[in-house]
Amino acid sequence: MTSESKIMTLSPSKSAFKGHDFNSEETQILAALSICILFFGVGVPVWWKTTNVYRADLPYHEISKLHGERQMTVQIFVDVINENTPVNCNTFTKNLNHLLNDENMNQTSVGVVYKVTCHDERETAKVNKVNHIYIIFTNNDERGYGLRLTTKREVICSISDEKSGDSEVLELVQSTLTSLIRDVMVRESILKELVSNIHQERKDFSHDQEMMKMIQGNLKFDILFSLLCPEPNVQVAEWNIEEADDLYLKAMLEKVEPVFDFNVGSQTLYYTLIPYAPKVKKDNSNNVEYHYLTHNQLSLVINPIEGRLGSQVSADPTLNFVVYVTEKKFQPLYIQKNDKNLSQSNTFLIPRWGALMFYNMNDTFDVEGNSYKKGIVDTNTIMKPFLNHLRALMGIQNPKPHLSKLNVMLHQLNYDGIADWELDYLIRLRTLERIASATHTLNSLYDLLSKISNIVINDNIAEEVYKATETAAKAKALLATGDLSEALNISKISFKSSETAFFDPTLLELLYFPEDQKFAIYVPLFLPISLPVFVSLVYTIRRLKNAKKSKTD
Amino acid sequence: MQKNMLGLFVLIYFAMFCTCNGNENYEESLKLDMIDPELVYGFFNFTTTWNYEHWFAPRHYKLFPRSLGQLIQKYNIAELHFTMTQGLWRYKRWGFPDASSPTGAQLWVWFHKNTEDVDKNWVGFTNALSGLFCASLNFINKAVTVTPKISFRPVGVVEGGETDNTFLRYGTLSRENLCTENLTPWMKLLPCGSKAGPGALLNPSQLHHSKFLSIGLHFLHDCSEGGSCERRHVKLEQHISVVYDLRTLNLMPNFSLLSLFKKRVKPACPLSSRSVLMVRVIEGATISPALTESVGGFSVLNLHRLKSDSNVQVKGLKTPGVTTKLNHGVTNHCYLTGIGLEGGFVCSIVNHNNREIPIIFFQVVPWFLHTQVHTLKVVSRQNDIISPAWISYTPGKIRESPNIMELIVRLPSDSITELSFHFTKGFMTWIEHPPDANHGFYISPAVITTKTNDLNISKELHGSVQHIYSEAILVNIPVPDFSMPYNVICLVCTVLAISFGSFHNLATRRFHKLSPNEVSPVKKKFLSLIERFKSRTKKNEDDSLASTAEKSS
Repeated sequence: MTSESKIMTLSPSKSAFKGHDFNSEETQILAALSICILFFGVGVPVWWKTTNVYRADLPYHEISKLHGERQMTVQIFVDVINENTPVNCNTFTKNLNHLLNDENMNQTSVGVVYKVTCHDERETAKVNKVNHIYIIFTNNDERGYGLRLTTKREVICSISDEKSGDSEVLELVQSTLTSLIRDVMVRESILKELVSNIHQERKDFSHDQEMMKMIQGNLKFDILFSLLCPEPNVQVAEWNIEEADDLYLKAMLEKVEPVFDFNVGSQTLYYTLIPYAPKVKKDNSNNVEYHYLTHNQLSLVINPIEGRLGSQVSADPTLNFVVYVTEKKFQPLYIQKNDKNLSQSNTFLIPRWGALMFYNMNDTFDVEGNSYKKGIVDTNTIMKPFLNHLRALMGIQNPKPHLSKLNVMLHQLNYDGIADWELDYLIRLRTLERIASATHTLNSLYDLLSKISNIVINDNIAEEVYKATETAAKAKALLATGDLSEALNISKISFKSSETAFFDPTLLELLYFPEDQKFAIYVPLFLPISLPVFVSLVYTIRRLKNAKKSKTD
Repeated sequence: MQKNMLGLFVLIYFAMFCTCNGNENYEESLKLDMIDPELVYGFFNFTTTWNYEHWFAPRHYKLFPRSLGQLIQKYNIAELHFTMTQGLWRYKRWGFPDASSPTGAQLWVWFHKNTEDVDKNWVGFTNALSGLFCASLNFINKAVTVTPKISFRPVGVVEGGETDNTFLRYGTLSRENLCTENLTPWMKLLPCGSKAGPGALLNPSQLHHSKFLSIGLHFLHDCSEGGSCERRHVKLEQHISVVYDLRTLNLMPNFSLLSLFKKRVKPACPLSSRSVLMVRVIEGATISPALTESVGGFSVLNLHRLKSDSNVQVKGLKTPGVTTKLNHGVTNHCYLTGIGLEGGFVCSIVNHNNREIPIIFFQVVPWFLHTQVHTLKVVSRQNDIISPAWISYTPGKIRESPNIMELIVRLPSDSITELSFHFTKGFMTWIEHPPDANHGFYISPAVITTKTNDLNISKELHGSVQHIYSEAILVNIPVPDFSMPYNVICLVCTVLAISFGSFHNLATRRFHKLSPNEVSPVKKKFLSLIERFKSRTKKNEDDSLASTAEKSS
């Protein structure tokens, strides 16, 4: 009796809703359905909209296209200029063109196209334009022929009238020129290796050592010269680094300024010791004892001093050039090379880091009133090897032009330490590197975004990505048309934008928001609400099916 | 006379150094003084000066630390004062220190007048400095930063002669502790580090066994020659003040450098032009070895003449009978009053001079304490109301800037003056609280600025004004329950779920009458389940009975 009354009270009062049976099956199915629609149609989208990670629109298609067509083409202009020799310029040009462009270039990461043209006037040669190689034929008074590579962009072929008609000689000149241009001046193989290395698809490892030394990526670097005086109580070293900077370094840095922005500084550190134990040996010739360090020992030299060298102010990487004044008890100290000979310069290069020199101070003088002796570091002896190391760090190697039977003469480098054609090579190398790494960075970002859903992309980041994509494509096109300097400038923008986009801290904002915490917040709300909705939905569907069945029956 | 002699000596040294060492000069000294027979006060001072022409913007560093020099250049800093202090300097008992500093970290910087965005530079600089010293100086944000109007004037020379307050920023962090990790980078800035001279005594673990420890770093521009100020130099002063309690260290009748610092003093840093150890002991005690030179009551040991590591001992200290009270000019003591959300702040300032003196009172109150400036009262003990000669009050903005109070008060002769005001405690949102919120919040120490002459001390101090710091005061403000947000989420979700569930049930369930004899389907199912369970247990029992019977048989 009691249960009946309970049920009676629970049932909706008919007086309030006249003429409508709320207890009918139809009404209930309708109610369940409308709740479901509300839940899925309004609730879920609202929740999705409010908790979704913001991601601005990105040029996904362009990025994948850029990465898909990552092969690059470089165009280089070769101008053959015949001054006053009987050599047939046009035939020579044709043959050279054939020799230079023979390879099937589509299969490599970088294709180099040479545009060889013939000029009969000297006038054009005077221009010395970027991305040009000038081959100049001049008359040789003596009976012979030879090749000279100048510090500009010229290869001078001096050839006597007698030999000008000799086809064998001309062939030799052609083949030598081809290998000179391709392997020394342009260095196609390392360009290819570098680009495929960035895309992590390298097959050739012949330039591994050289590539390991090269500094990577950044547009700006700090160059820091450090003079380390480990025992100022015995001897204090001084140097005139301001003068050395002006004298040796300034011209070179100004020349490479379009490629790298260097900021030079120096410091003197005292009581900074390298804990090493050099070996002692007696010189056979003059019976003088000297100390030496082997290559294995050198690897442990940098670590103890590195903590004192650095400074956190600049965000750019630092190239360290360290002069270590050897302790009195170890003087003279030399570096022994792998072939057991002593190193001439007493320096060694640390890839991508800089170089260190052990400096044996010979001339010290007393200072009045002080117990220690003082010495001046000769900047000439330190700067020459350091400049060589700086070239290697930038990516320029000293040419070894023993290419064929014909020797090529090299001109001495100017005071600026870099030949014009080397600069062209450096620009080419770094432009390719920057375009390739921008492409690679953008592609990595694209991959990450598709894998990790929590990464936020704000509008300013999207802008950078757009900029990087556009400029990378533009720089690529410029390289193919041979506008090298503009390509360099554009590639810098592309590289910078891609790095900014990839390393922006806002990308990581929500990355560390753990999934389990999200569930801890969602479960108390979603579970009690969605469960009855689902159950009633199942019931409704079953009832609808039953109703259909009964109808058909 | 002696003082003059010392000055002459310094001058001679300086001249000598200038001829051989370019335009940099470095001096180091340690002053050991006894506050009373039980307290030893040590003051390390390391000063580097560097002459410059036109503008201080070096790239090549020698004695001046490069890491700091770069910061000064990058953030365009004209003058910098940074101290970190552990413990409280007791002005009343210990007298006035050589370098006054408040508990915790204090930083004030004058920027050059050509600075474009002072606030941006300030934020950048505090962050960089916190990186350099491994301290949390990055917490000096805009809610802490103030620009005092008259309390902190430049100590050095000002370009153009006139000061402009808009280029001054001041911030304190009373909660910041001084640790070994701050001391190590500080010592790295010294040319000889802790390898020579007084610096060799800086033993971090032993320094922290003190009653008071403070490190300071002051950078300023100064005139090289008095008067015309045509040539200028920059000056970097590094201080350490330390107070040891001999009784707690168990060193009562005799102590030595070795027992205090657990290190011996080493010969001078060879780069220094002056390196001295000065000791003054209380009457009756003796120094061994006996130091012959004496300047201004201090026995002096010239570390340049020292040949090997040595120790200095002080013998024959007597336990004090009556401690003499040091009355030096002005002292200040601040405390809190009030209960609950209402608070009051009282400072009692004592003037020991027998003449009326003017002081500047400076107080920063955090934004969450709403100060009521109408309650500001300055009353002397004799109940005379003193009206401040000048008042500047800047009300705080919530989460933006603190309340700043700066007054000039003329203290009557031989008087105690009470300065008080009221405040109400505000609330902070739960995410604004620092870790360990129940620790409370600090009101940074009140700063009293007086003329050096009014301090009535014999010590030679830099500058014409001195700062006296009071205690940092701890305030408790209401702390929320930090698990509250999750509780709220859970509670709201539960309420939502319950209400939704019942509405959903009402809408989708069908209710109909059951006749009393009819058993509901749910009940039927339940009953049958019970039946089944019963029968199964019975069966099991029977089986086990049967098996035991089998075994026993």
